[in-house]
Amino acid sequence: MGCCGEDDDDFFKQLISNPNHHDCSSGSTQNLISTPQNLQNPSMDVDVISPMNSNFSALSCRDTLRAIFECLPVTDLARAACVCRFWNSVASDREIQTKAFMSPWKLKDVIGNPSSGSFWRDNSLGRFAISHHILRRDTVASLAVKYSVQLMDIKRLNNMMSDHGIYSRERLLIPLSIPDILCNRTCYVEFDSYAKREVAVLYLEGGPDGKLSSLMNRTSTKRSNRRVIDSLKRSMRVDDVTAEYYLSISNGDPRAALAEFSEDLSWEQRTILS
Amino acid sequence: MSSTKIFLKSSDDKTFEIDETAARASETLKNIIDGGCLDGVIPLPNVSSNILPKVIEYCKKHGGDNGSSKKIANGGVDKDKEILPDYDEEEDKREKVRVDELKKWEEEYMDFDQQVLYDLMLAANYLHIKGLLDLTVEKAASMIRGRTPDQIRENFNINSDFTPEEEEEMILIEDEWDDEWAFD
Repeated sequence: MGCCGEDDDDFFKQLISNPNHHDCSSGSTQNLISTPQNLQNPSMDVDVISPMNSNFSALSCRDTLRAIFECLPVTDLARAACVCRFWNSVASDREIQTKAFMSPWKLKDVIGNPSSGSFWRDNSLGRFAISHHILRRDTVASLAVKYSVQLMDIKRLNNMMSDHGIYSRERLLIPLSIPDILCNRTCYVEFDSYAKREVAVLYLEGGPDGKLSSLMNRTSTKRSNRRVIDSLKRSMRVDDVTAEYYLSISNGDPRAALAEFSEDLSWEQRTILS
Repeated sequence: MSSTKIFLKSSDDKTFEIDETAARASETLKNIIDGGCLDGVIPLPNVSSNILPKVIEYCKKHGGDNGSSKKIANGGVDKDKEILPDYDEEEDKREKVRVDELKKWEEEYMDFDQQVLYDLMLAANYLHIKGLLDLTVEKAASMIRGRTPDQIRENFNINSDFTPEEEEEMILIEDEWDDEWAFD
């Protein structure tokens, strides 16, 4: 369990001990209507300001409850969401959640939808990372110096086994060392396939170039495909179409294509001989 | 203008008197006054007679019925003063004392039970008195911060209305959350 383990235990014990309490006074209209004070003033609307049903009126009014929740940090907001249905609906509002998520870092905006709402419950610095587009001479060590973070932290965040092979990646996530960087910036919620989790990514140079990079990927794969076919053509001494055919039946694996081709070749020779 | 009196009628038909300048602390009242819809008494069907004097007290303090609080309401004027070369340091000191005094006043003002707090919050919301709403909301938020859902329910006298299945789900989410912490 986490650091609030004992609290949670208490919470669940309480839940288990009275699971049949469905009479939350806040939020349920029937309850508001049936309270005696309210009957004295039948002309009043249910969610109107009045000296009615004990202290629940302000807590069942969406506007005021929102205003209260806007003063809460993420952890308290998450706990408030566990109080009752109505509180849950107000506290789960995306705008309130993102606001609480951004406020300690003075972020300007968070763009993107996390897979689970629990993403918003933790806004520790570990949630954030800078996206570094890898350039030719970059090494993990040089990036560690550039962003003044620990080399091990970069490797850990990106699940790197060794210092090598960073060129097979398009980018690395750099952990944040100074929270001030976040001030007045926009973050993008992304699932990073290397970090294997959702991260609020900060782009220091412009926004995420998702479209652009996938486009570049396509052209680069086209180009590398061309190179494979050329080399196959040369080693098989066949034309373009034949090389392409063998490459396609072996799912783009040039070795398998070559094996397939030589098998066919030997079969041909055998049939000619016999 | 400051001598103009406005009469407010509470939900239980009691009438209260307030200076126009003080009433202008409320957006809603200000709109009524400026809109020319004023004919003697403004009825406030959503505010009761035990809350309205408290609201009026706040408005009097913040509505700019004395010279110094006008300054705080009009921040622009103050900034201009800082730019001017013959800026008075004494004035700055007096301003600081005034702010401290106001803080102390707010502390005393906010000393009441929960019932009054919520009614005041709703009244501030209805009358659009931002300062008062911020004050009350902040007090309610301080009663939530650092507490477990169970303690919050006790604090605010709320019962859980989640079904056992939903509770189960919440426990699962909670576990997922803990797992995430374990990885970090």
